[in-house]
Amino acid sequence: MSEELIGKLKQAVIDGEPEDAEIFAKQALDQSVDPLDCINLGLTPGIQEVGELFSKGDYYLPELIIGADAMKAALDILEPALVSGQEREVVGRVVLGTVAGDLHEIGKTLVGTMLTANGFLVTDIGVDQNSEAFVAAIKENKADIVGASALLTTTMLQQKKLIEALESAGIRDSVKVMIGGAPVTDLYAQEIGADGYAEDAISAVDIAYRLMDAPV
Amino acid sequence: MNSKTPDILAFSSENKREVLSQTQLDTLKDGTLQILQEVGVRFPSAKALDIFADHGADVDRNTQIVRISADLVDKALSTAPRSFILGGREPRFDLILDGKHSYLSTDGCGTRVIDLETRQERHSQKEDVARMARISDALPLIGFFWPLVSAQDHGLTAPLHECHAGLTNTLKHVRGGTTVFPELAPYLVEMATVVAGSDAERRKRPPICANICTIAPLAQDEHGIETALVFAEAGIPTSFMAMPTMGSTAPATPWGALVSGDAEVVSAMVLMQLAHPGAPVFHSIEVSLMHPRTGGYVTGVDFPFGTSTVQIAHNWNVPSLGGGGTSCDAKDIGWYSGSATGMGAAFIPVSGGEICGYLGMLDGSMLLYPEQIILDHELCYEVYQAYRELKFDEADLALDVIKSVGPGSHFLREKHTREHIRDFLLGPITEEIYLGDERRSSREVALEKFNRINDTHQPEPLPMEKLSELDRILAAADKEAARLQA
Ligand code: B12
Repeated sequence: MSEELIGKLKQAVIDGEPEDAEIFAKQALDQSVDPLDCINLGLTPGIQEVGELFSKGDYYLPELIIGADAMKAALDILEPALVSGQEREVVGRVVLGTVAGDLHEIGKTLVGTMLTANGFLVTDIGVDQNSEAFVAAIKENKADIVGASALLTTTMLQQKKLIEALESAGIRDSVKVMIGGAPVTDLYAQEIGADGYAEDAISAVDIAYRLMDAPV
Repeated sequence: MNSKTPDILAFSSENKREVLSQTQLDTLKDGTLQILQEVGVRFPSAKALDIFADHGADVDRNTQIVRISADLVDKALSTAPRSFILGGREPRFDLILDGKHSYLSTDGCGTRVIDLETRQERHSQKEDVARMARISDALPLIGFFWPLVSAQDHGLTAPLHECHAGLTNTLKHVRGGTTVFPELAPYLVEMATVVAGSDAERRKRPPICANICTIAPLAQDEHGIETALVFAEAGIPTSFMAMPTMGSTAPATPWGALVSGDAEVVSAMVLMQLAHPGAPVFHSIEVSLMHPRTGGYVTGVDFPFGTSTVQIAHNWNVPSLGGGGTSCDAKDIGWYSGSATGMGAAFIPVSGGEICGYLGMLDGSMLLYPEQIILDHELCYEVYQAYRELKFDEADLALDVIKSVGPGSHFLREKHTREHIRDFLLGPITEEIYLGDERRSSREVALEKFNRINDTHQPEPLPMEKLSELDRILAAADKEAARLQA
């Protein structure tokens, strides 16, 4: 019984069916299937397969995104049911957002999806977020990495401000800073003392792995 | 020594091809009205919400969403002018947006340039804007100067410095307005007043206009919309540009993207008319595609968006920004850039948009190669020639010469030949490629031409007192920006 449900959860992620994922997750809890098994044996292999299908070129971005959504729908139900001490395995915790004054949404969202599909736990705080909002989210989510997106030359300055805010909040040493966005360059990232820069969502994953000291 | 700025050459819009029927346009308009009435558009600005509420729109203060009835849309847009002037420094450079001419613009807001000396890529600066304004001043088909790249050496007031670089380096109309902190917008208005000479003249022949992007899907930018209100009050024309991306910020079909972009633009135009009836506005939708694998921004979509968006604008009875252009995704100059810019240029006259073209940039409007503007100008010149009205009468048939030479022989010795052999207008680049001793790449020739203009073309400067006025305004704006940042 539990194997069947875990298989269904995995398939719901692969097929990109958030409603099904939610139903199966509820059924699993009703039938006392271990939520951690549901995650580690169902959802995680499911999203990994989605990632592989994407790498092979069978899946496109919309399939990747809906797969991640299906996983999230099930996680929202399963995670609160984990008993204390149980924790799902993640490569790292990431807080992601677009900086203050900047409303460009898509690049950041894709980076989030790619990271999710590769085993990161991503909290997307949205667009137009000031440094205080980033700092609060980093603290709340115990983030290992913060990702800040800026698409305007005038808002790139906010990425620098974010690093300053992390310093004054005393958390600069506990969180790695990753930046990106069309006008941002590697050089700029170095100049402002960021730990990583990626020019697209796929390399963002490599950088995030590197920042976690995890094998790519 | 100052140089003379050549007269502007505009495309005539007599050759228009309509891709949408009136019924199709009505279907689109109906869709837009449904969206505005049922879904609404988010205006994150208390000022905007107040104006809408005062005029009876359905305003939800919590979500900041405004729903606008079809009646209110029609009533508001009835005051939007169909035709207005974008002023140049002299009336000879005025652009009349009346649907009869298509004026070419430079591309806008890139961030990287290929340095003229080192040929290495670097961040753009104010001096690049100034140089490109001088080059544009010398190219007759460019009617309208949009700062091609950002003045990244100027932080928050970059847009004001770009405007300044434009106004002081070309006699043509400058697109100097964009989304800034609303507190900075009055400085742009002041700069326009100085150049125009008076408040009244600025309203009649505004030397600058602005572009404000709407935020797909179905939202506005607080700063953008409040900046636009400042411009509308001052009679500075603003284009509202929707940039729906099929698959990410818009439905993945052309019609879905067009109708949602239209709803964004119309909602902004309605607000301007409610606040300042008669404010000059124009309509723009730039549809793109999300690359389904990389998520990248793809502009080269095989669909007649240019022509469609012009028709949609004109169906609302306002001028259009759009209708074909030379801008493309290529990262360097080569076959792809040549074919994409050439095809883009070829569509301009048949689309009939008032302002279009976007000359001078590659890599999706991000990267400036100095020589690109010359190459684009060349292509546009060929299209211009192809669509020129042809005028001749019997005297032009050279019948007397034909009769005198008769069968056989040749025309080499004829006076008529000497008189006319130079008439044929070869494009400036083709000419040099063919007339030189050896064939050179068009890129090399274009760069040479760029350098020649750069070394010699010095448009008439603004009078000293206006220049120092502008400096004073910039200094005050820089101070205000520092305050805003603190
Ligand atoms: C679409 C778009 C918009 C849309 C955004 C819609 C939305 N809801 O997101 C709209 C129309 C709203 C818009 C508005 C504006 N825009 Co805009 N916009 C673009 C455009 C064309 C594409 C952006 C995009 O979605 N790309 C697709 C995504 C997938 O790519 P991406 O964002 O680059 O993200 C990838 C990488 O950069 C990287 N990445 C991104 N973020 C992060 C973060 C991290 C941590 C990492 C590691 C990596 C990473 O990975 C991503 C995925 O591969 C760019 C030009 C361009 N080619 O980039 C201009 C551009 C950024 N915009 C520009 C401008 C000027 C504006 C406006 C100011 C215009 C105006 N006058 O109103 C406003 C500003 C609004 C605001 N306050 O933010 C200019 C900026 C120029 C400058 N000098 O700064 C650009 C460069 C275009 C141009 N040349 O004119 N824009």
